[in-house]
Parts: sequence; structure tokens; C-alpha cells
Amino acid sequence: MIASAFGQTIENLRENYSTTLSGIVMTSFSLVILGIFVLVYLNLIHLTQLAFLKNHYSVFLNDQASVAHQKEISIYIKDLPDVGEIKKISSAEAKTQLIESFDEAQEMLKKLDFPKFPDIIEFVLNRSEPLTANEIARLKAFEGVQDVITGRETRDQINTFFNIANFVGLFLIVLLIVCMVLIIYNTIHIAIRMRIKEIEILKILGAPSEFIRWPYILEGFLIAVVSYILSLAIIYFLYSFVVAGITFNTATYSIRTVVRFFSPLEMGNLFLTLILLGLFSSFLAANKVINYLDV
Amino acid sequence: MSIKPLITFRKVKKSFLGKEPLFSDINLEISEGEFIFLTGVSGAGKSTLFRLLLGLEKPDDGSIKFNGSEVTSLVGKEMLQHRRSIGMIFQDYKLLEKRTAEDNIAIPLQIKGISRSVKSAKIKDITHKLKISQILKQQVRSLSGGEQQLIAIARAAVHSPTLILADEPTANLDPRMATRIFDMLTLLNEEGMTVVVATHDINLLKAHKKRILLLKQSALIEVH
Repeated sequence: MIASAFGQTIENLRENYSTTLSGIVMTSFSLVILGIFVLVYLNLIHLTQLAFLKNHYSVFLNDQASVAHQKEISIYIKDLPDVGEIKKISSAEAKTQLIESFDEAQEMLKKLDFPKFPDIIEFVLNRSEPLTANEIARLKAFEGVQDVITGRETRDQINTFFNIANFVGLFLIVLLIVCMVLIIYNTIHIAIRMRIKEIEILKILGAPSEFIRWPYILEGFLIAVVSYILSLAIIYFLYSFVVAGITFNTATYSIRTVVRFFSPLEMGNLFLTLILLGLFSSFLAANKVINYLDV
Repeated sequence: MSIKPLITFRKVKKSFLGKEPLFSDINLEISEGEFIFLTGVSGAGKSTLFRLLLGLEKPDDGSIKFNGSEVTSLVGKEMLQHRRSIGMIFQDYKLLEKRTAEDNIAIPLQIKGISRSVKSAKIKDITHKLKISQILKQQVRSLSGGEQQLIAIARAAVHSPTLILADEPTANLDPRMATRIFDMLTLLNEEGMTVVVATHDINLLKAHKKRILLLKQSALIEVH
């Protein structure tokens, strides 16, 4: 039965590829939006969990920062209460680390003319309280300091966004899932409507409902699988592009290791969810039309 | 030894909403292996009689038996099983036009879940019998009306049903093709299938000495 239904599905797709294709494109589009949202959401959770964001500071130096200036800044930092590890990252080190973070593209990147990265002094505080506004202001006032970025600020910003995302996220995810179900449902519904005469003939010939229904359910399954692969590829491309862009344009060279893609388990869960949704929506569409036919 | 009745209509009444009754009291008995012509003017109810027999319509009253089973009380799988035991040929062929002739002939076998090898053998057998092997791989819409009707006959007979119902099978065909179609139906009848042909083609009725049933003024009359 399944083999015969699969053959029938292939025939249906061949005859009616434009409807199926538009279904795949629309489903993929919804999935890309959903996938990007979920990825951002997961990354927010990931980022807020990172320890360095708790009480981590990056002092960005400008071109005027001489060795003497850097020494003064380092001494000030060392004297801060509860200061932990202090690390200086030079422009050259930043560039090397960036190149090393790109596995296969290293040779190509070595030949590129990068914009100059600023030197950075990074340090952490071994306490829960952050630097006071006064301490930060004094740090910023040093000659040669371009900016001071605090992990806590970043974390707080992320948390604010995270709270909004939590609120909007559920609504958006439900909305996009409903959209996806409706797209697959409508694609299958149109496909069945276009073959309504054929279905009537099959019913007159004594075909059971499952014989008629299965090819369409499999079509919904195929739409789900192809859309999943397509949208995952698009999301991965966008992810690589954005991460590379961020890394090239700012000094946050380690972002590639911070921002992550879906894990295999998450991809598996998404795949299973999508397959179930595909089967569910095509089953609904097929059932509606077949039951409507009073033959 | 008496021949077992295959089809029995007893006091069948049928009317459609807002219209005069189509059948007021139809009584009919068809035995296994018979070849019957069902005739009458357009709108007399020939197709409706077939639809009643297939269970596509319900009578207002009366009993319709096929092979001992009451058709009017069949539901679900029993109804599907019943339809599968009847080969139906339509005036407008009712083929899947975008599919090949072979795909169309294979449908009843696919519905029955018959294995690929048996399916191939049965298709080969029926197409050889009907002399249509050469058009097997062609798409239905590229075939002539006569060829399409031959494919429809092959589809109706490929699973060796007990009964073949042909609704105006020669209506749109030239006389030569009509004769060929009729010869094919005769061949199937000679192989043991009961054949009922609905037609208003007088020439066909005159040319073949078969039992004729005439639907006239809501009644069924036996013509000799």
C-alpha cells in the first residue's frame, strides 16, 4: 500500500509540481523566519548563561594609547578591589585569533587586508557587585581609552530583550506554526481539488479512503522534509554570513565561538515536529475533501 | 439445474426532488453469465439504474440484491467490496487523462492490493485479449475516443469482476469502433462475466440478438 501510494505521490508531484513547489517555498519561508527567531532565542539563553558576562569588562584602546598610557590603565585596574584575571589582547593577536577561528577559510583570510582592530584590556571582578559608575567614569577618562564595555550591561540588555522575546516569542512561534500548517493544508487541499474528478472515479471503482488519502499525506510529508532541508540551509548560510560580518566589523573577534548554531538534538527535534505538522495538515486536508465527496 | 440470479430488483421506487418518479415499481432479475441490453430514451433512468446497483444512489423503496447481498444495506468496506466486484464502463470513459493507459488499467488491481508481478500478468492478459497492447504506454489524452473506451473496458475487466455495467459505451464512437467495442464486451461475456449494456443505439440492438430490457414511463419492460 505504502509503495503504491509513494508511486502515486511521485505521479501527483510530476503532474502538479507548481502547486507543490509554491507550497515548499511558502513553508520554507515561514520556517526560515521561525528558525531565525528560535536561533536568536537560543543564543540569548546561551549568552546570558555565559559566565564572563556576569562581571566582565573590556577596555577598548584607541590609536593614541601609548605604552605609558596602557601601563597607567593596567595599574588602575590592578588596584580595583576584587579584580581577577587581567588580559591584554593586541591588534595582531585579535587578527590571529579571528583567522584561527575560521577553520577552512584561514588561508584565504590571511591574504585579506583587515581593518585595524583596537587593542583591548579585558578583566573580570571576583564579586557579584559591578564597578561603580564613578570607577567606570575614571577608567573612561584615561588617555587612550576609547570605550569600556561591561559584561553586565550586555547581560542586562540581553535580559531585557529576553523578557520581551519570552512574551512575544510564544505568540510568534504559535503564529508561524499555524501559518505553516495552513500553507501545507492549502497546498494539499488545492492539489486534491484539482484531482477531484480522479478521486470520484477512484471512489466509484471501490477505492477505500486510505488508498486515496495516502498519496496526499505523503505529499505533505515530502513538502515538510524538503522545506526543512531548504530552510535549514538558508538559516545556516545567513548565520555564517552574519557571524562573519560581525567578526569582521567589530573587535568582538570571539563571537564565532559565542554565537552558536542549532545542536544536532535541536535539529532532530525541529525535524520531527515539522514532519508531524506536515502529516497532520495534509491528513486534515485530504480527509476534508474525501469525506465531502458523498460517493 | 437452475441458474443463480445475480441481480434482483424488487418493487424499486426512485424519484428525485421536485421531479416525477423515475421508477415507480421496477422488478428485474438477471442471471449469472447473461448479456443484456438496457434501453430507453435519454432520461429514462438507465444510468440511475446502474447507480442504484453500484450503491451510488439509494432507492426510495424496494430491494436491490446483488449476489445474494442487499445493496441498499451495504455500508463502509462492504460497499467498497461490492463496487470492486463490478466493472463499470462509462460513456465519457472516466479515465485518468494524464496517466498512461497501463496506469489506468492497473487501478482496480492497485485498489485490491495485488502484487506487482500478478498485476503485470493480468494487464498483459487483458490487453492482449482486447488487442490494445500497442497503446499501453501512451498517455490517455493522446488516444482516440475509441481507444480510450477500449482502455476503459480493459480497466473494467482486468480484475475479472462478476458483472460488467456499460453505460452507453458506443455513444460517441463511429460504427466500426462501436462494433469492435461490442465484440470485446461479447468476448468478456463468453469468458463468464455477466454484461449489462445501457444503450439507445437501435442498430446495435437489432444487430445482436440478446435479451432487451426497455425503460419506459417509469417501468421496465422485457422486449423480445
